[in-house]
Amino acid sequence: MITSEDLATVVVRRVIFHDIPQAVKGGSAKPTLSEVETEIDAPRKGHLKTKLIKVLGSKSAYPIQFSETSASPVPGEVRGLTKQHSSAPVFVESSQRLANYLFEQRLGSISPGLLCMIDATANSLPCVVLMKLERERGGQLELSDNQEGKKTFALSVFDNLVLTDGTRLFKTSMFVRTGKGDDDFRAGACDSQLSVGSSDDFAKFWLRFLGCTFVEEPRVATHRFYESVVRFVNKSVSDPASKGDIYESLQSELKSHKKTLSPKQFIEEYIPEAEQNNLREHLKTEQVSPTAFTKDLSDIEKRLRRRVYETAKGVTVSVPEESAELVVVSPEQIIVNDSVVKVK
Amino acid sequence: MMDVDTARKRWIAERPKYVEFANLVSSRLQKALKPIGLWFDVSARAKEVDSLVKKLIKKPKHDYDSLPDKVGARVIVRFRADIPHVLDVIEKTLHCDTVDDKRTGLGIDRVGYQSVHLDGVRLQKSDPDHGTFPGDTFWLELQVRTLAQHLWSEISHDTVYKNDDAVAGLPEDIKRRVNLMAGQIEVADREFDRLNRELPADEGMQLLKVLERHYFTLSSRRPDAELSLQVLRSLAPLYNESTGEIVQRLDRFIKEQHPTLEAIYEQAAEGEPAYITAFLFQPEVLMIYERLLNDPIAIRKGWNLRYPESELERIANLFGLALD
Repeated sequence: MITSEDLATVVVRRVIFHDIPQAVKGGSAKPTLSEVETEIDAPRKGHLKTKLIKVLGSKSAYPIQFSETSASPVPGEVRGLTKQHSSAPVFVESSQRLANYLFEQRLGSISPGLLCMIDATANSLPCVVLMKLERERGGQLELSDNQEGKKTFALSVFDNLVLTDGTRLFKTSMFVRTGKGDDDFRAGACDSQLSVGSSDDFAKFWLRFLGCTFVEEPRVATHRFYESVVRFVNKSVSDPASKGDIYESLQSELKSHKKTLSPKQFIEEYIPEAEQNNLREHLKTEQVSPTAFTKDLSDIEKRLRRRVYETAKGVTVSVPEESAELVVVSPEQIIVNDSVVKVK
Repeated sequence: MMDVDTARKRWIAERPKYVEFANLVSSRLQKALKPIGLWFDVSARAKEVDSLVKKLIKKPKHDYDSLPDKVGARVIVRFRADIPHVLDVIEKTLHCDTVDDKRTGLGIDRVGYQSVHLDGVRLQKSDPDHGTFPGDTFWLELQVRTLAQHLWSEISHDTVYKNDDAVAGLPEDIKRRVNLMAGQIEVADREFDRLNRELPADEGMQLLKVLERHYFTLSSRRPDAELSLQVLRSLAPLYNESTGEIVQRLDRFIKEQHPTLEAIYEQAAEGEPAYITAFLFQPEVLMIYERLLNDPIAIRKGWNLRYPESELERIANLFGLALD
């Protein structure tokens, strides 16, 4: 989730706009692409920052993450642009690709507007902001030549669309890189017109264009991952020894001191090679994201707990608390109503 | 006889480098003094060409190379009690040949110019810029004084009673009046110091002192204390806690947020006035931030009784928060 610290320390470096007309089947409309960034002065940057704070700092904003299954180029472009400070041509070309992609989505119900891409820093970390600003239906906005003869939108376009307080904002998303990894991002989004999940139109826009999904509550993500892996082990893994190993690895990974769990990494480290693709497919079918999540065991705590019996002659029996009924204890003996699959 | 023409030529050629040195020392002092949490004002400058020539004419015992104050710096604080804290930091930050406390030199029966002069102030050998500004070429004279001492120094600067030699030649009655004035200023200086310690502190005043200590680690801009007290007295009841508990809460909160606050103040200082809240340079803004994060409904309600909501929104935006 984008934090207030991120928003308070946003420094806008570059801004570019592209006009995206409504895509109509058989129509000849095409995006109008800027060839250079729009040079905006310090007061306008200040205004843009305030707008971002008002939108992404609002209660309607929510955390998002890159979707593993989306074909959208946005995650790749954002990862590339934030790896190191990008040059102006790289920034412009990247934004043009995204503008074309947005248009190609032919989201009929998405109104025409401008795609605004911002290269910025937040808390001194590289970040990218994508906004879709609405404009009136009808004619496209005109480009003008800058001093070097390259096409760009005039400042008046920025003033009319961004500075006007009456502007209907828009769809906004922000990605702050927090580390070197592909998923090391804090990301958030907001749509000023729709509430979360209220519209198919809305979901389409985010899923198709941004290539993102909503971030699940850590409690829910942990529970779903656990249940899904257990189901996979019970149904698909036939070798009893492998079953036991995977179950133990799952337990220890969940109980470890690590704050996050990456399903992708879990599969690579603990699942036998022959089963790795099967588990990946299984998680995909059950719509469990392979992206790392913050662990919260509150929903599965009981299932992770084990009851341990120690006998007079030094025998130890450890059983998951939820299967405690398998162990029958009497004064003279302890009986485990289960079969042995592995001896360590 | 000093060749002032040669000195003039050398200073015209070399002065830009000394200007850089003055700026560097000024920024080193700013950075080092901020964590003390006291108000201070730092300035540093390389002498103008004409000032250097005048000084050499006036002090023939010096030549270009031995002149001790081609570069001068000054730190002004509010109270006498602040001076030892500042000296402590300066001596840890820069190398100083000598520390001359002019107050001690006056003895028990004389009044007059009071400041602490640090001579031969140079970058420490471990300083990353020591190579660019080696200590055998680049040094300055640094003065540390209170606002009252600064008043005496400034007002006497252009007059005949600037130093003991000048005063010695004056008629007895004038000498007496000069001494009385210096004495009055010293009394005022001491009284401000005592008053600062002894003023009865109500809740607003206690909170202001705590918040000022944090605020001055972020900014050297002097706030409007009257506004601070008014706001603090009206917002403190929102906590429903004792003053001690509020102080503890604020101390904890501000320490946790300090790196972010530093980044915000650094940016805001260069920000566009149109988007900056008037409370940026008020210590109470830190308390308002704490309430906006921890009890936004109450602060909004309390604030709107007396102050414009648009200003609260600007404060919220300053800290990356939206009022919705």
